[in-house]
Amino acid sequence: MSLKGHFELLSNYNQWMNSKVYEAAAHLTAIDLAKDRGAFFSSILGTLNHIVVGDTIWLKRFATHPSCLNSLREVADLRNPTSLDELVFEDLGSLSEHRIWLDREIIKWISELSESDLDFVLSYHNTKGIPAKKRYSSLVLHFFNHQTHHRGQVSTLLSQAGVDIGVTDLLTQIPEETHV
Amino acid sequence: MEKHQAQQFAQEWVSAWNAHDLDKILSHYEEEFEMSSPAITKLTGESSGVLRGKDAVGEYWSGALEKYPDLEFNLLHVLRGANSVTLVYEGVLGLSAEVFHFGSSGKVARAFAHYDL
Repeated sequence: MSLKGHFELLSNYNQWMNSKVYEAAAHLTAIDLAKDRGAFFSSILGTLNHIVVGDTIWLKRFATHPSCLNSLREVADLRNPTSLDELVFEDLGSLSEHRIWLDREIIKWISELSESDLDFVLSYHNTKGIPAKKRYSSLVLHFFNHQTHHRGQVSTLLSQAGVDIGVTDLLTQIPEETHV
Repeated sequence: MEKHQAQQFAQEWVSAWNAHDLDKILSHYEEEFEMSSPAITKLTGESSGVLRGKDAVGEYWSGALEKYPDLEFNLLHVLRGANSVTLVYEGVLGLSAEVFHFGSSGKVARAFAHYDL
């Protein structure tokens, strides 16, 4: 499978996992979702918001790749998050609606990339204003890994709150090979 | 010039401007490059609209960065020439197109800014 093929797999996995996580979270009350559970971003709501914040920051950087000016046009217009722990949406319903839109944008963006686009070296400034130049493919890998890392925290918090989100393995999304 | 080189230049150039990092902006140009822009006439009174060299252009751009603290370029399109690049972007002066001619050093030797003024 090509590098792009792997990122398509991860973009679909992200959408699939988010649908499961948000469906599970909907079983909890607003108070339970906002309750400080000692996680790095405090609560289930705080952690889900942080994933959106991280995704937004990175997608706006990815949008500066000349090949992505169209595919990420709407994402590029999103407001810059004010902090990594910003509650972009304070209720699960609004957050969920935004998440569904964002996940479709991510799938569209990856599907329109070429292999050579992934070899691009992206210039950007981090949240502290420090300049960096890194390989686009490596940054995309970081982007998906960051989602998985924090979604895993949400998975644990949901489990501790008595809600099981079920199967989470990427393996279930990997197609069976018909030709050897 | 290859497509990926033009794209690389475009993204780095816009990133440098959006970071308001004058050293990084100037790093794309040759020491004695020529900058031609109607904004030079408008902002400095230089009737030819042309400035030469990193010192003169750097001073002009430093003033522009001070004048426009919220300056942000929004890249719209990258057009590739044989040894030149044209960037179409939205900037503080609205829709803009800038043509960059590259010297043997691989850096910009001459640049021509165009605005809907």
